[in-house]
Amino acid sequence: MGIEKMSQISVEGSSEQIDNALLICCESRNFQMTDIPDKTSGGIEQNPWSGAYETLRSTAEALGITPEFRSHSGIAENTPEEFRQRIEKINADVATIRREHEEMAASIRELRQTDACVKHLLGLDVTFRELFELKYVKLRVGRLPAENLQKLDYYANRCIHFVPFDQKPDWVWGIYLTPSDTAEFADSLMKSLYFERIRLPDYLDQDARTTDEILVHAIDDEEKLDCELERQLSEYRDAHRDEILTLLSALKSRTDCYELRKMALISGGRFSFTGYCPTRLADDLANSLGKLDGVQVVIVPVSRKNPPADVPIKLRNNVIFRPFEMFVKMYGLPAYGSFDPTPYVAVTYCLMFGIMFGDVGQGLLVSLLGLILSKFTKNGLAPIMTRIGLFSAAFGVLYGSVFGIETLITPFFHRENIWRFLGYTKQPETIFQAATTLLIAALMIGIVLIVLSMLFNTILNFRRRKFGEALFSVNGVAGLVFYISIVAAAAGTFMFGADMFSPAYVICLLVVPLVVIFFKHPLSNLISGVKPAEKVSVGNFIIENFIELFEAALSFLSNTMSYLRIGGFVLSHAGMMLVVAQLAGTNTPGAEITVSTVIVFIIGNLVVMGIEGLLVGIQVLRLEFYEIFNRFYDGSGKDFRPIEISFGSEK
Amino acid sequence: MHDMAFSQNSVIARSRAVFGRSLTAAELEQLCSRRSVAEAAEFLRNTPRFHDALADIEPRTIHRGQLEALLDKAVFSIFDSFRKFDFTQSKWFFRAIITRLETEQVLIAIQGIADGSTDSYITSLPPFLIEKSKLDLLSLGKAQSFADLRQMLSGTRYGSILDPLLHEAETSKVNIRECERRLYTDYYLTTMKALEKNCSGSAKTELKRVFLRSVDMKNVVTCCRMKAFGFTPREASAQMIPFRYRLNSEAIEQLMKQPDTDSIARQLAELGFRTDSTAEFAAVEQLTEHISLEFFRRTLRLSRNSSTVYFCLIECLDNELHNVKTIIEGIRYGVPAKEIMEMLVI
Repeated sequence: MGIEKMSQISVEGSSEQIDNALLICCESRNFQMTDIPDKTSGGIEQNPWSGAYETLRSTAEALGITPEFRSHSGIAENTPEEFRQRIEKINADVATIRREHEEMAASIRELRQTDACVKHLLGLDVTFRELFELKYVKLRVGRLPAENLQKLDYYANRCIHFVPFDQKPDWVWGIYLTPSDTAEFADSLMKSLYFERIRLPDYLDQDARTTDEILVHAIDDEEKLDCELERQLSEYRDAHRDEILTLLSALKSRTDCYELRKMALISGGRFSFTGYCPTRLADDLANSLGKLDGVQVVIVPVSRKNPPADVPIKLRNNVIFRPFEMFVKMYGLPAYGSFDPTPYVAVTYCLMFGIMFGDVGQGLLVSLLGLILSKFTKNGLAPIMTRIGLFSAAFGVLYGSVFGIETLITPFFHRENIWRFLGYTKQPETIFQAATTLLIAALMIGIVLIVLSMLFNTILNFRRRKFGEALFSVNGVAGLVFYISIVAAAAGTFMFGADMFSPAYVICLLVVPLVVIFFKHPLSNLISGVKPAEKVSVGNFIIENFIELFEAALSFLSNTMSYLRIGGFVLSHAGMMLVVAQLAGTNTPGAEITVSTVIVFIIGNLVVMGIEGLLVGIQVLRLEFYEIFNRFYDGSGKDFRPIEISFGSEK
Repeated sequence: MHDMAFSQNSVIARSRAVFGRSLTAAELEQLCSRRSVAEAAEFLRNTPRFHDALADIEPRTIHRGQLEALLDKAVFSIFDSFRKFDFTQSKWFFRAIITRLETEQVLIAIQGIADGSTDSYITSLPPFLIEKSKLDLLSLGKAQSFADLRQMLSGTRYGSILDPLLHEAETSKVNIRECERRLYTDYYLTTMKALEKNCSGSAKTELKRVFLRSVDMKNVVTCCRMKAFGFTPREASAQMIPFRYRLNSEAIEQLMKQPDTDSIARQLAELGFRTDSTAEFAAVEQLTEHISLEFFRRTLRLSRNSSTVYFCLIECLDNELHNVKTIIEGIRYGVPAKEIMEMLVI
């Protein structure tokens, strides 16, 4: 578990083998290629495979085939010419059917458009033949943008007469008439006003109503023919699907490998490229590459203490914690050589969510929903839902809450030894009567998490040999001593009545750590033997460090108080479920259960789950990022992006 | 005060929301690779910016001019919606937009009479402007001579500006460049007056700075064009919009000495007009528009004054519309996608 150890891999060989070498690296899905820093060669030639690939891909899309990767070892040695011949044959076959299909579709579209226009001319009571046979007058059928109708007044004396038949907000359908000898002028003028002419076929010589009927029949007939062509295309697709997908995969592999050459150095008949691979898989990759003629591979494990700046980070966690890597990536990956906080996030996230959203029924439902979503989608939140739902159910058992009903299971705090231990003289009936205890418990959780985060920071800094940070910083030993001391003193004084703020206690455990934090920079320089880069005046030093100290002290208080929300949400959940019970009418003993009660109860539960589940999820994430990560985590790592052949992206 | 603050915030939020619907560089690139105006229209119809305006078109048969007219209308309707939405700032901005469009139409009318192609006026007249303008724009198209035009414009601000030039044109050749200069000078003067009247405090200072910066960039283009025609810096200054931000006479003189766009870019950077782009600009117009666009985008995101944000939005939308029209023109003439992309200001 943690951050994968990386190895730097350098591959060299004869330039004829570069595509094969790159293909092996892509197929391993565990090799991230790096740019050659001192590459001096110019741009590479045009990709010889991309044209064929694009052509075949568009043919596949036209056939409705979604590209998916297939094994293509059978055609691995084919030349571009062989590929071209096979693709041309497929294209020719498909093109013939498609051309007919497109012509038919265009014809149907035209007929539909004509019919739409004719439908707007139903007010016309003469036949089209009579109109088109007029000797001295030409007429055009079509539509004009409605806003241009007002411009026609301008041409009132230009021998154009527009007769509108139907008007919609944006268009006016109608006919314009013009003397035969000015038809050319009228056409160009109406075109400049964006008149869309609709040409009626010669056989449509009846009146508008009859023409409409003829067109409807014609559209029906052509649609039947179009269906037949679609069937032919479908048959061709089923018969050639495997062949097309295999060819497409082979071409995609070659196209992508050729593109990857940009990141390699090719010179004097030799190639060289480098990259990173997880150490545990480096030998397997090297063995595969070594099988290629004349290809040499050098593996250099990346040092944890002094890693290169561009080393990528790959997290490796077990199946339980893995989904929570999403949150860590969201904040920023850890630096190489530091530690992966995923397990810590997973445990704290689940615990806090469970406490804040404790309900057996709702928890199990969230878990089930997560399971179903994981099965059918790739949403990263789904597996997290499965896990947090179980914690929610577990805490629901403690609270005795099943879909907000608190009478099915005996709540934990109803046991006599528990409420007596918590200091109550009689059993609290509801969670609201135990609110103070709950909020104190939330604060205690917060204190434990803050102390843990500071401990992590201290240990990590010791490991990195940053002793100044580990000993004197707010999140180091000094801060830890101050925080634990002040919390212990406050708890002792206010909860147990013991006055712990004695002068010795205050000076040794509170003042001294603060002074140490105040002088963190000079003390760090002293123990590391480093001279400060620039001199700071005494005034500036005091102001800067006082403000930092003040901010640190304030952050201890605000961070601790921030955890009150854990208790707050427990109460809010109970409150919301109380409202649901009241709306459903089930809050009184012996209430009658009706259909409407059940419906209100179900809807209420779903609403609470939706609103509160989301809110709690966000609030816990906020606690993780702001109160926990801030104290020890530096997300400065770069994601591991292995090269691969995939239809999902073009690179 | 609270109402004003609310109005300010709502205009800022709305402006940024409208800006957020702008076509991205990737979308413009996809648009460039369309092979016909019909495909371009289909593509634009599926973008959030132009979806509503093009919902009812038939992409297969649409005429380029009609498509461009619809795009103009789509952008104009955004400004109109701001006028209805906000009764304070957007109203005088809207008047300025109408004045600019009217100015363009008056110039087309003059050009039409000069060329003997008066019909071009009526075809290019945006229908949405007819009802918004106080000028009788449809009647203006009926002018067949400068005397007709003079008579139709009499009593309007355009009439008083152009009267001597139109009177002169009745007997000799019309000086269109001078007409243009006078009309645009008046437009900028009127806009500046409106700005002084309608804004106050820091909002006024900031908007004035943004406005004058954009004027400076337009003046840089005029200055470089004048240089190409062999004008002296003094003569070039006379042709410019009479407002300056950083472009003083010394800067103009220096700019006119620069041999190419790269050196103009360096000179402008010294004046504080920088660009983050490392691209090479083919023409000075592209450079200045790029500098302005970067500034408008930044100001639109950061400013807290609604009038400044809205002004930047207007400029950004104009640029977007210009880009889309350039692409449509490029597609129409079969220019390769890469070359069209190089012509755009992104």
